[in-house]
Amino acid sequence: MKNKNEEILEISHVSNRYRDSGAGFFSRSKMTRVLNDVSLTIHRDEMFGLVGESGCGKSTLGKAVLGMIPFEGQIRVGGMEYTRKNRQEFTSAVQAVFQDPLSALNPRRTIAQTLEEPLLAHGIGTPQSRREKAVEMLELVGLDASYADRLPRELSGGQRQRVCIGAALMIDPDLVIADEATSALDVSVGAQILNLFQEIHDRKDFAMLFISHNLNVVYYLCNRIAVMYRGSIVEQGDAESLYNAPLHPYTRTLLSAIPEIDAGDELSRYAYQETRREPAPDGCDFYHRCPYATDQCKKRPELTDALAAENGTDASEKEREHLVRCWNPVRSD
Amino acid sequence: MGENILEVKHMTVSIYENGEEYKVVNRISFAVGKGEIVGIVGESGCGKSMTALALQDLLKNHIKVTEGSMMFDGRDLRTISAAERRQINGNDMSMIFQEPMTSLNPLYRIGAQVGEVLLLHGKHSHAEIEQRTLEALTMAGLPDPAKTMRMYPHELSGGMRQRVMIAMGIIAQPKLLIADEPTTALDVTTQAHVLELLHRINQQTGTAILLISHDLGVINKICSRVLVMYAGKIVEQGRTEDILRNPVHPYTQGLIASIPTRRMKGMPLASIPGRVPPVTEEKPPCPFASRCDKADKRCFTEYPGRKTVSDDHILWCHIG
Amino acid sequence: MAKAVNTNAAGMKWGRQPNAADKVGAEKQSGKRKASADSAWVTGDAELRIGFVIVGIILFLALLSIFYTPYDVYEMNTAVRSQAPSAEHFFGTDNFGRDVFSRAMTGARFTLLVSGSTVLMATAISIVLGLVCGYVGGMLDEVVMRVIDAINSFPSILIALVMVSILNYGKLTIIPALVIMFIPSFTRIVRTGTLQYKNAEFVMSNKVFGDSDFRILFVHILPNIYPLLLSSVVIGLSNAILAESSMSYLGLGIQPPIPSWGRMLKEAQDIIFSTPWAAIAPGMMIVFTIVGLNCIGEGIRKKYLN
Repeated sequence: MKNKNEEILEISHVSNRYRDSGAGFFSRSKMTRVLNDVSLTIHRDEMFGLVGESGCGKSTLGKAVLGMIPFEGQIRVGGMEYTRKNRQEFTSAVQAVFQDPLSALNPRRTIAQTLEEPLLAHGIGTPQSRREKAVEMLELVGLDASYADRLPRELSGGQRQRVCIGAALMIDPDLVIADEATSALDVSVGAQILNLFQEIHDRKDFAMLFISHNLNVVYYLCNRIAVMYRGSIVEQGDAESLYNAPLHPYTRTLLSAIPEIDAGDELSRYAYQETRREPAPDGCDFYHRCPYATDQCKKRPELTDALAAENGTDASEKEREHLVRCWNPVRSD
Repeated sequence: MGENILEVKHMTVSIYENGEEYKVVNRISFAVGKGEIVGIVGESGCGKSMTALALQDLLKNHIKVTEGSMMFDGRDLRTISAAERRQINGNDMSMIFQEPMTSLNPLYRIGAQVGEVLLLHGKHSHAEIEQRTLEALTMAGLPDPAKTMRMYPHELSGGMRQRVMIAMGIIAQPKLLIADEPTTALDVTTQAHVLELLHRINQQTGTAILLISHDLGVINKICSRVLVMYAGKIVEQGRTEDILRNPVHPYTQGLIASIPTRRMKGMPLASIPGRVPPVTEEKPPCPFASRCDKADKRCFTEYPGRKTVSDDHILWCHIG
Repeated sequence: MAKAVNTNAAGMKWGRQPNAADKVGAEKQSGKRKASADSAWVTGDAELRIGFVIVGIILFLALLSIFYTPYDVYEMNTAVRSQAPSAEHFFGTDNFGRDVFSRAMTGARFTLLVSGSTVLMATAISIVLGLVCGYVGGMLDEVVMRVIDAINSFPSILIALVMVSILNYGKLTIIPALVIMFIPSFTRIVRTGTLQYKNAEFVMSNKVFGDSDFRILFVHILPNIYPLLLSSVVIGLSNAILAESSMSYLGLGIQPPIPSWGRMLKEAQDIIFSTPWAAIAPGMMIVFTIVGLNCIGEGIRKKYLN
């Protein structure tokens, strides 16, 4: 067994900006920040969830980890940094599953060809052994050998997503990034895929960065969760404490906004409320929507360990840390 | 419930493709009471959007209503003239679509687009239209309606655009508002606002709402009754609490069990095997039979008749 | 494990039992086949069939001319000068007594050889240029595309004339001249296709798999551009035949006494009133070939690009 606390993904102080040239010919272009000093660490075999609404930068972070976009700061996967030259070596450590399984598969290549592609790219095995591994993988993801020679268009959405997951696992990566992997699927099919993630994760050894807008899905699947808002992490902690005792007003807003099917669920205790006020340019990002904001919030808060400050727990106890970017975190009860 | 604003009986909608007829909606019957919020829930391809489009006469050329009647406010929408139809659309019955991005014309100001319906029906002065537009935008919860009227669609966020769409939908004070996945393209916090808004409109103006969604949570939030559709058929219908607490049809049960909720953490989700069959596929009499783990012989030989579980809770299943 | 395939007994029975409902299905199936036959023009199958038949006949005649022609192509026979079409001479004879049918067969060979090799070379060069420009982008793309714009802005026949006069006035100088004419349009097509696919999600997943850029370009992007490129190449081929014929007609193409369709047209021009069939035969061959090729091109477009 490998060391549980080994750091698989280290993101430190990553920022990303793009130039927004505006709508008019002569409007002045300005820099828009997508990621604002994001840092997080994922350990071996961990399921890490990243939640936020559209445009919060969660997908951009995923792309940055995969080396698809330029950024400031440092991202290391298994101790490696991405460069154009080491793509091959780097990709043996990190693989991805995307949102739309149809466009993520080359329409002209059979399922087996797609599954063998990562092996081929890394020069692993012979044609026979690659084929055998592809069939093995098909079985692992709940399909069978009869799918090997079909084309993506002959499969249903759920089956395609199974193939994508299989392809990502072919070279036993240390980290899999799943970006909205169940969002494009029907509810019942999405549930099958969530079950599959759960099951494969029990059998294989990899960490996962699961990106989603759905806090319920993330809570269901992950051990640790980070909530992103406007390019910054506003709260991060172990799934239970973040979901059951959220500290940041934004997390609470998110939770209360989820339309639950259990009306009697305790979560409805957070009455959904939202305030509107003039934004504070240098203040907390959530200031203009926060029901609890005070004058202090006109200054930008740092991400701090709420529990450590409160009951003096040892901050080195990583699993228990609960970080929050808020001057006055909300205490329930 | 009193009178019904909409009564659909045995409605069938067919797609014609390559000389074949495929039934996307297969003899469904339902009613929406005056001032009621009714939900239609189902996965993609179950025919819920086709039902909405058929009611608004917005079906594409190769898709047709082939059977049944649609009584709206005492008149059958299938038999009235095109002119009468135009009178109803947008006036007594209006619709909100999923995509607030593409549903607005980017070249016209918000005010002009929202007031359009009244202008078309030609009974109002310009001052009156402006007044009504302002009221509708205010009601739709836009923070600065006077300013919004002078803006163009691209200047608004997705949530704001959907509010504008809702303002367009309610400006003529319709008796029925059909909302087809109105919050699917929106963020969860924006969705909460929009649902709240729909609920408030219903309470204040008595407009009945037919809400179509794939998300049972959304339905649960505002609908008093819900129809569960699968492969062109209604499989179960009843009061929302009854359906959610006490689902009887195996499909409804599976759908509910597929949703990851707080209580399911660490347990496998009871998902439904297989997938929704495409419309072109031949289906057994009970369309769900091929995915149902409780199905027996009858399910493959005859269509299950209507069963009453309890008052207002109706089921089409041999097993339940 | 969630079962992907339903295995309950009743379900299997539904899948297998040849009951009444299945028979209805079978009838519907045959009905469907009939319906789709009606719409062969819609699917592009009709065009493809017609095109392949026409081009097949021409190709057969061209290949046959290597081994056999009814009469010698170059032999002049004053005994049969300017004869109208007959059983012995399908397309008649020209003013030197040469058999027009035999010359048209051989002409087909040279015309197809020149236009075919032209298009092949132009395609190969354009694939590399288009893929690299589209994928790499930036300065390289700008420069190459502006050069291509420059080539495009001259009338193509003028460029060919200049090329022929710059290069040695050889037997096949016409080929490089035509290649340059065809590069711009093919390159644009490949480049547009590359731009379309380079940000496709499956290309991203291939990058994540660790594929090299070379493999992404040639194994993943290129095959997806083929249908688009193929239909343009076939149309390009018909344009090349026209271009070769015009050049030969102008006396810049294939040099006498080798027959090519354009050459034959030129030679027939002087005798158009006395022996019109000498002009009609190669003219008809050109028209047929072009119609055939365009049918194929259109068929490919309809069948694979919709």
